[in-house]
Amino acid sequence: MSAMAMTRAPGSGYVQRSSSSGLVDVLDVLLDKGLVVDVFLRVSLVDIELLTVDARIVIASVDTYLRFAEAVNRLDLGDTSSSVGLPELVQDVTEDGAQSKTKGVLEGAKETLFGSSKDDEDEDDDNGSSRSKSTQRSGSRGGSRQGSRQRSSSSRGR
Amino acid sequence: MPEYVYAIVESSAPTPDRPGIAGRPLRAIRTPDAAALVSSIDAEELTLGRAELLAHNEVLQAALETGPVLPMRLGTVMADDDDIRRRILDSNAAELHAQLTRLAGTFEGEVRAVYDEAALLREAVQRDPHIARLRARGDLRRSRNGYLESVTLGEAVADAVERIRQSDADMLLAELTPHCLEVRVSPPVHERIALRAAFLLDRDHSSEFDDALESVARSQAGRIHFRYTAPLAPHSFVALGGAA
Repeated sequence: MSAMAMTRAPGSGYVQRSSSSGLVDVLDVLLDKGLVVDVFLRVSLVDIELLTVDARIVIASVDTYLRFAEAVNRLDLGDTSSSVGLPELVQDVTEDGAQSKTKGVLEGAKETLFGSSKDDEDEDDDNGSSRSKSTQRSGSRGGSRQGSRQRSSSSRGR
Repeated sequence: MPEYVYAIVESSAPTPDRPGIAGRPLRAIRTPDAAALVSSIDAEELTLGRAELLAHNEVLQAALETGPVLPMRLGTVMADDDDIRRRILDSNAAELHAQLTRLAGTFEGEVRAVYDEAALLREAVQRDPHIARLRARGDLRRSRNGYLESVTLGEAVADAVERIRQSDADMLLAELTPHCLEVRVSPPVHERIALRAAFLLDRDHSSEFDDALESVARSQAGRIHFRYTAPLAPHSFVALGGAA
């Protein structure tokens, strides 16, 4: 029963498959989906709520235009290996984008919240000892986050 | 004592043998139509960090191994067992039961298709002569009027990228949706996202979806990278009272 989907063969390698136990991979799903009861006590989710707001970036922004322009100007159209003369772009090729310079805000925020490394991710599965430390880390980014800590607290009795 | 609520499962579903948040024992509050998986927490205020998210996720994953799971929104805390019975289980009994039935034998798979940026930009330039012209002009006088020209060029690239994304998203959905029960497309979170979507899959036929994904990924090798996370509880396919 349980085994079937989880022990699936890794395929031929064109798709990077990840188990559902890695936090980075399930974060998008966990954050703003699931059943909502009309009135319930909501725990203080400060960092995470800010994170989901941050994630709705505007792609049509001047910053994006400038970055695109620079990238396109650097682009060597004759170079099909994409590895020469594109110091910034080369990093992007590596994979999903968690490490790249052009990562989206969500990825950036994930790094803030959870630390960036994927190796780190693998350690979590059987490691309970990092608990207290990581909780602190999640609240440690800047004064504005601290300041809004109370924002989403209890709504009971409304 | 406040209770953290993880998910709704079938009335007779076993309680997963996992600790809850902060190592607290996991319990099931059962009614004839459905059961709630919960664990106690000390205070109504709780900051969810890495450890809490992992615990939450592990409970859902373990529950998914034995039957349908309706995940609660992350961070759902209720006053006590009675509150949970009254405001979740009893008041939504029929709907919860119906969703558990509908989602039995399914799981969610998340697909993220991300462009190789160099390939994407090269394509944008090559497809659109306007961009190539702007780019050539920029080369000639890069030191002067740089800002405005860069914005104009960048905007043209962004438009081209959006058109490419749109057509790729349509193509990918056309390839994949015939092999799923339902699909939910999420908005892109950065410029290189070609498609981010959740697919509801039938456990007995999920290999067909796998094959389709593998095949489309092969056809896009070097251009679009694919990342696939499964099996997940059907987070994207549950709602109460028609609310999203």
